[in-house]
Amino acid sequence: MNDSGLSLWMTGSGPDQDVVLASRVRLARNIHGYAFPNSLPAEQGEKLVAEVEGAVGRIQASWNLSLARLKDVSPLDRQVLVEKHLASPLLVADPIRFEEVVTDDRESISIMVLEEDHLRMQVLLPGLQLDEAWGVVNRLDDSLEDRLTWAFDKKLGYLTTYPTNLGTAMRASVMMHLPALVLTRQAGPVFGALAQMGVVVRGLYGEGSEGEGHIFQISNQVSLGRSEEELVHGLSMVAQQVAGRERQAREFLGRNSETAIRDRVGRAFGILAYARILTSEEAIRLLSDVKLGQDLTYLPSFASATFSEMVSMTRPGILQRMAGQDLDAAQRDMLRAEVIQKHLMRT
Amino acid sequence: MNGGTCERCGVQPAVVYVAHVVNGQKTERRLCESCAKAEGAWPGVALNWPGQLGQLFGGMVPGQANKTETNLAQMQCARCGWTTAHLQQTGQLGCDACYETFGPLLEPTLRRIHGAVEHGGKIPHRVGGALRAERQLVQLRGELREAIQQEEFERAAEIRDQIRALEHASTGEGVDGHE
Repeated sequence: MNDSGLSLWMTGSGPDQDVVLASRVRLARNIHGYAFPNSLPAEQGEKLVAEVEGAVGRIQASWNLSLARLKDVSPLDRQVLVEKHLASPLLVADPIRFEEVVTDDRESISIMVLEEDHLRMQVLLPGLQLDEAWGVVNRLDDSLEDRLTWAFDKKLGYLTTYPTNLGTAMRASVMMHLPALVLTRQAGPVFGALAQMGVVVRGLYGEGSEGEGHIFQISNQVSLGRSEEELVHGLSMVAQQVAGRERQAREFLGRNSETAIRDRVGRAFGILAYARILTSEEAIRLLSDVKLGQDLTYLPSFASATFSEMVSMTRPGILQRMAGQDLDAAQRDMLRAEVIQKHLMRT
Repeated sequence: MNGGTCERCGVQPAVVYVAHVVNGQKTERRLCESCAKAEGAWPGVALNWPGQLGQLFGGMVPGQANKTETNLAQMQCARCGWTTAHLQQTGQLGCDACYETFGPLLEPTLRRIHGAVEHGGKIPHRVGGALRAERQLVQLRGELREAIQQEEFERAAEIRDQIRALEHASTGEGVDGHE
């Protein structure tokens, strides 16, 4: 894991970043000749992991990869992996066998080993860069395939634990900041229309985090019958359309409710600037309002961080990782306020 | 970035986490309320099996529900031992060979979720050599027909040579050469 605490998708820049915070493309792969993780005997699991380590080892230097066996990773660092979107809650929840996570030095690549499928490899980039992310993960898939034989069927494509992922076994998603669609009550109808197009909308950390910081993940539901390029292109178009709607809604708010919006974002800025105790829920909500204010040019931009960085730095795990120690909730709330103030304004 | 829709019905948002540990192996799934209830994983609701269990993969043959259920219950993957009951309970399969055993049962579900039942994407280099050649042959034969129709005989001859080379290569490798 990267010790600086932050990943490329948070600190870097990319197209349409005013609305699209990050893009991700993930491929599920299983290795021919082994049962899926749900019914893999322990000794087979060990053998499989050794094969994966061999394949990863060969490309480790050229891709700058490092590998961690989750059993040996502290609970805090496991939480950090989830907050950075490098591992799923499922993978880190209770590693009892040989679960591993492979990441690159920029943390734009991660490979989960023995999650629901043998491998789930993803590329995560800042802004709207789905084509680029697909390009990288496609090459990663090719280079791993030099040593590993994938479970593949000429009719069904890549074979996965869940038949719902069959075919390309690809999930592309964009993380979008949509405050104006929410405030103008258009989010519901827009998401409803997306559902009709085989596109799924979820919260920042999956279900139950809906609307947190007005951040949503939008991804393809369909994985079978179309090529990866078509699916990625389709989702890019969807993301661009949604971004267009969000920008229109922002303009609309600026035109028709300027005072109310200036009041709202100004209050958020005021609290972030002077509060001494901030929970992560309050922080993400206020940061979202401040970002809307910045996008409408009502507020100055953050001094030294992107919105994604600010949101990430205030997550409980990443915050403690940066502090270099375990903190209780009260200590975290105080440190969170301090960290935000450090990056909020130029002094 | 997990969570999302219910892993059983693939439609409703997942609201509960259901974890099973069998012989030291954990399976965890995220289900919506109605699927969790159907599986007896919702507090205070008795397990109703098998009536509601097979919502996703059950009732695949219209009008033959009872017969199908009996057939399903008897099926088991020869390689990994996965059964129809496993499939119905988890929505998962146990290994790649399961797709041969349970494949036909999955089609209606695949059609509903994906609107398709055939892969149209990437083909792996390692196991896909023959399939790649096959796809390329189909494309070249189409081009050959077109070239002949357009009376572009020089181009047609080139394409024919390419087809021969491909056919020769695939028989040489001994992969599906007889097809």
